[in-house]
Amino acid sequence: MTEGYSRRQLTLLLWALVLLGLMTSGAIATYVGWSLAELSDENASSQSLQQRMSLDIEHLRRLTIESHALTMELLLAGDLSNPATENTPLLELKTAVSSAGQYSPLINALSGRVVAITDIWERTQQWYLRYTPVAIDIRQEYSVGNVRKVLQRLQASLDSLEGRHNLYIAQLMRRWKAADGDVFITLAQQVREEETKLWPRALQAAKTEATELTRLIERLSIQKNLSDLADIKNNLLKPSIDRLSRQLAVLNSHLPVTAQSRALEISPVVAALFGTEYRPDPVHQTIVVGNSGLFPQQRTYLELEQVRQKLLREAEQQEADNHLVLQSMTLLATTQLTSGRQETEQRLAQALLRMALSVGALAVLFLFLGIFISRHIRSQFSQLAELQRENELILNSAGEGVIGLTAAGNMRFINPSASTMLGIAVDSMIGQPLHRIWKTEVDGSVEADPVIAFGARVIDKHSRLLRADGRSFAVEYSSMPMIRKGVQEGAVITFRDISESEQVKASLQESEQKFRDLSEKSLVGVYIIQNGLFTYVNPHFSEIFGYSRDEIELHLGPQDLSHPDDFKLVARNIEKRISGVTDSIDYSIRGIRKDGSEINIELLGSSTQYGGEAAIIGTLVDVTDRTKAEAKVQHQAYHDPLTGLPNRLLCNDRLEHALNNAQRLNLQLAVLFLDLDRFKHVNDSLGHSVGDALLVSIAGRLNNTIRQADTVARQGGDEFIVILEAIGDSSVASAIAKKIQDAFAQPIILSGHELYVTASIGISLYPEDGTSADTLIKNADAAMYQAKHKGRSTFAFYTSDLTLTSTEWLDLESALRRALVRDEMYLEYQPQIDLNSGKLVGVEALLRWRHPERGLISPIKFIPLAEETGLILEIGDWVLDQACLQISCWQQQGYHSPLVAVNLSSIQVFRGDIVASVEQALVRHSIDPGYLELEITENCIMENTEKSSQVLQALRDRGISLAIDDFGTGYSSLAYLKQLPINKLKIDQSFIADIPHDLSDEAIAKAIIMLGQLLNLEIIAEGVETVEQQQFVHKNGCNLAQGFLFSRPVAPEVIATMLSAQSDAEPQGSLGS
Amino acid sequence: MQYVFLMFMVLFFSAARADEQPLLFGMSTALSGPADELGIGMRDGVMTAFDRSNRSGGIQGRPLKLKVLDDAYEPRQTSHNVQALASDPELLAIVGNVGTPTAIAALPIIREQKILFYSPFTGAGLLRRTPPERYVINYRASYAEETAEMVNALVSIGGLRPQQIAFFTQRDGYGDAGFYGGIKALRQHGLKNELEVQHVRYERNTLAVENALADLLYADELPRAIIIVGAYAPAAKFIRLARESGVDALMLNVSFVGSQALANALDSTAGNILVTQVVPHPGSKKLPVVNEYLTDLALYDAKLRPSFVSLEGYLAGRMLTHGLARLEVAPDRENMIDALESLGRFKLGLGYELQLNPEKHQASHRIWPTRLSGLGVVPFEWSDIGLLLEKDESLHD
Repeated sequence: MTEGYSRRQLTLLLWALVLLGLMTSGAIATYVGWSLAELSDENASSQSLQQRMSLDIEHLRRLTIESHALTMELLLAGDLSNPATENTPLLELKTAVSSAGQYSPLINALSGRVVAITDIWERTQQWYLRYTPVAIDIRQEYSVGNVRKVLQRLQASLDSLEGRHNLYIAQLMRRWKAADGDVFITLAQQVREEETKLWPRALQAAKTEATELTRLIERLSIQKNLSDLADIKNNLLKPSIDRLSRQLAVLNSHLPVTAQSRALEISPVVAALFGTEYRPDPVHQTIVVGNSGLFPQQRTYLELEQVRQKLLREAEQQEADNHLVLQSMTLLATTQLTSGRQETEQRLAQALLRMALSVGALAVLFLFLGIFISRHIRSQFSQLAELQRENELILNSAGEGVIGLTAAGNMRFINPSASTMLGIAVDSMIGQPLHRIWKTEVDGSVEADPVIAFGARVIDKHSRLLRADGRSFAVEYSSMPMIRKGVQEGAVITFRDISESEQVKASLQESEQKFRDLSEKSLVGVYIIQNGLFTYVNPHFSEIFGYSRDEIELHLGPQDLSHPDDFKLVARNIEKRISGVTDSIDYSIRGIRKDGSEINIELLGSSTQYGGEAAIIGTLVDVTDRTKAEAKVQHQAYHDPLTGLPNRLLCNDRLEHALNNAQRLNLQLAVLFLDLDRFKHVNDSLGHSVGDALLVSIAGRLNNTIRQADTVARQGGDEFIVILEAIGDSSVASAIAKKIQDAFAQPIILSGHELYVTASIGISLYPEDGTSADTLIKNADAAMYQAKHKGRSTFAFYTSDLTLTSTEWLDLESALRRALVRDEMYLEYQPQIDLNSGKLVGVEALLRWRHPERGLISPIKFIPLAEETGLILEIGDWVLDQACLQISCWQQQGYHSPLVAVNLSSIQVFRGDIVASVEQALVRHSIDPGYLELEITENCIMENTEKSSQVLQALRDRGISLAIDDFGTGYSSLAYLKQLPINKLKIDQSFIADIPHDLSDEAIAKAIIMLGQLLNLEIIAEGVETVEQQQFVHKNGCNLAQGFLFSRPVAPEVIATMLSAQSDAEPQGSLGS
Repeated sequence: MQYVFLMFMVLFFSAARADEQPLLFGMSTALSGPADELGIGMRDGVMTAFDRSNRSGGIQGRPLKLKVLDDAYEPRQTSHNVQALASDPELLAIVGNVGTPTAIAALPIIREQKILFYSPFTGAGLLRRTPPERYVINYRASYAEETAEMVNALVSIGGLRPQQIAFFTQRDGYGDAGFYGGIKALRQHGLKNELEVQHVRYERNTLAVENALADLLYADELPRAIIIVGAYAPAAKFIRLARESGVDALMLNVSFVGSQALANALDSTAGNILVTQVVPHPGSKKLPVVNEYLTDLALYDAKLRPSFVSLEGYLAGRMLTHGLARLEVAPDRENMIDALESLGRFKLGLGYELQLNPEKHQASHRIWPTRLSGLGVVPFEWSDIGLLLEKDESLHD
């Protein structure tokens, strides 16, 4: 069959070969003939065309020149002498070019020129139409004349106004000269009044401005440069008009009613200048101008002049281009005539060459076709052989036995697997009937298999086959008849050895037996659930629930043995396992025994197959006893053993729970923190047993006071917490706090003592004061401290500014400990000025702390904390070190460093070794001690006079300057001051602040200055904010000052710029005097 | 006009590769005349930023070059200069012009030539249209923002009535810009009649301030605060004469005055002169970009002193190189604008975000008040403005 097909194909290919040859040679002949004819035609027509063209070109040249001349005439019509506004040569040119459509190679260049010429003509025409009216306006000075006219009118009005005023004054003067006595004085006053009136001054200004505007308008009218117009408009005209209109407005509002004149208006001037659409644009600080008026007219004129220049340039350029195109056209016409013949010959030669090439190509095509045909034949044969090999390979490598039968039932082929299984050699069997080898064993007797009746198809039939050696094996086989065109041609039998899978089934039964044996003897309950019923339970299981196995198996399901409340969970878990979400689940529930009693069980179930169906298998333990034990322990863990009240843990738990509720239902709640006042006295004086008894009875009273739903807990010691849930507003909390305090009003009688107990209560509210249990308790605690401060037996609500004073105190302390390490502290410097020279002579170093979250923290807040915790020693050393580092920095930058004053805390003076710290800092940065000044407060010295004078003396001995800070606020005696080795007194800023309003402060400041002078000390005034204050202290002999008037505290780099400015200004005079 | 001379500076930087074609920028600024300190400062600042970029190889390996022409703060000279600069097709943008009247003169040419007018040293509203003009991009806050902040502080914190504030301004587009901004803010504070607020003026490039002061003295009530929109020399003369005439009003100047120049021109009367700035104090070393500025300035020319003006030039230059660095193709006049517009919200190290996009052509809106004290220009807080007005308050009690 394939051979026949191949033969037919080959014949077809050969015929194609012949046909192709014939067709190609025909086509070549036709092509050669056609191209020869074409060539001769073209040659003839092009020659005649060339001749006509050279005539036409001359015509075109004349037309372009004429058209250009007309354009130029229009553009140069400076005198507006009615130039021609029609361009007939251009029309002719257009017709000539559109009829010259056959000059294919040049038509593009030519029509391009015509478009350009038309374009410039039309633009010139448009320009001319716009230009004429504007130019006439400018030449005839219409617009400028109009502005001049209105301005003159304005000036005339101003002049007449001035004249009238002058006349009035002159008349007054005359009468005044002639008068005497009272009349003389009255007239003199009248003259003076007239002289100081505002409006005559505005009149003067308006007149000046009108003159200025006139000048500007003349300048505008002769302006030749478009780019200067923006300057004139925005920088000159606009301010002038603004000022003029302002002065006129002042005039109009101040003039005596009789003198008012309608001519004093700016709007006609503005309209004549900028058009009626004029309006100011304050956002962009410019003005919007209209289309009429002098300015727009002038602008349009200058713009059109610019357009004229541009058009002139373009026209010239075009003329040159036209010339170039026409010239090249002429050149082309002459050269084409001579080159026409050569070209024709060349084309003939080319046609012949093309033909030779085609013949060559054809030969190659034939060769390829031949090669293709022979290759095709060879591949057909090799494919056939390949197919056969593959078929054999498939059969031979199959694991199943395959036997092919003929229509007569003889074996056509047997694959190696089949021969191995049957133990027969392949070669001996081919052509033999099947029943010679196909013997099945049924119950020990051998019989021929019905498969021989191969008309039927057999699928997956099980049987036993006999091998040639007499042994039998389990087999599964199929038979498939091969039917072709309705006739059976044979059949294929496939079969495989299934002895191994039979063994697997046997071992499964064995393991099932083992499982039963194991579970029957197990001490935990074992069960299997299928379709909602227990299909198997072991004896221990039935024992746990008090049923017999038969009562359970196939009768009861999990719902019968679970507590109704827990069954949902059970059902959900069963669902999960069946759907394969989880493999096994371990959980505990309550179960119901047959007698109805409740038990606690723990179970672990997982999904499995049982009897070929999905099942849950699980184990189960009775944990009832254990659960009871646990609950007891839990109660002990969550309750205070003394009072039986919930302890801190449970309290937190309840509060969390209450918060969840409140959040969900949008409710308020309150936390009351209660602390007994003076409970310690009870313990100390009456003993702990009485104290304990007191706590128990207080717990009782508290429990009686609150509502059922609320919680009282003992927080430890004498502290209790009350949680009030679902309160309407804060008044409920205060009412209950009040009620608690009332409940304590009755004395408690214990061991014959009548004890009066009071409590301080702090209240925090959810959600205002916090949303977490911790915060609420902490804030209530803070509020409780506040209540204690107010006086005992009170209650207080939390406010956020309590935060730092109590609860966050600890946070702040730990933050402060980290501040230095984390580089959160830095110094700012406030300049100190020598009032005689105005120069910066010193700076006071001021410590700053920028907390990463809280921002800048005031020294008033953190310095006391640092002192209380002793951290001030470490911080103080750091400040000294930084200040010295800064001095050395300034020196290295080439500045003369000012004296740097550093504040000392009393802790540093009394507790630390300040002398050593200072020495170390000086040595580390190689600083001369003369640059450093230490400031100690007056109060610090008075704290321990003996020690402080020792320390000060030691510092003074080392050449360090010393100043007393906040002087005047303490109680230093003159006698004592005299003994101290100090250099400087700083007048506290509280005395400076109210100068010059507070006389007593002035007196104190004066006294301090005098005291300083008496003791030969330098005096510096702090907090100088105004020039008066500076003058006051300076006048009274204080030569140094510091304060906002000079500069607030600034970064060291800013000080550097000041020092730099100072050294620049060195030779100049002083500032202060 | 003899002081108007043409200065032609072409600066190459040896660090960048010489064989690469440089990126050329132009500047027409005041190198002589009454605003020369500003022009020179702007030039030095921009050059310092360019120098920084060139030291690390420039943009796409090409060095930045600046061609500087002097206009002596005269608008007519500016239009000549800008025309000359813009006609060079290689020149990418006009950078750092000084002054409003000069910008007014440059603007028509900018529009016609379609070349970027970048970060001029002026806060004029004419350069801040909404939506913005494509060819104008500003770095700094506007004069209207500066005077509005002054007015807000004077009225809201200082407690002045609008009528107690007066304006002393230069008689041109610059003076107008400051005045209109202040008046707008005063209207928001309830001012109805503009004539109630004194507005006196002086002619640009002159010291003729006497008439203006006389006008103020003639008024029935002396102002408590005077907002000055002028150059440092006339401003200094005005302040001196005002003090001599017994006017102790608080004087508030906009940034253009040049605070250091004003401080130098006034030899005493410290204490109640404020100058608003549009860049931070050049001593604010805590800001990374100011720190870089101080280092770069010393590297560029060790003789130069830090100043507000050159810091502004520097920041404008840094913003420019920041934008240019976004380009992957060779910069040209158009794609450079696109690159700057694509910056969106970005940081230069000033401690706050700048913003440029097609709808916003002004990167910064911040104002920093400073005060002239005997120690030079020191930082100031608006909350303290009451202290400067306090004395007068007590007189009225």
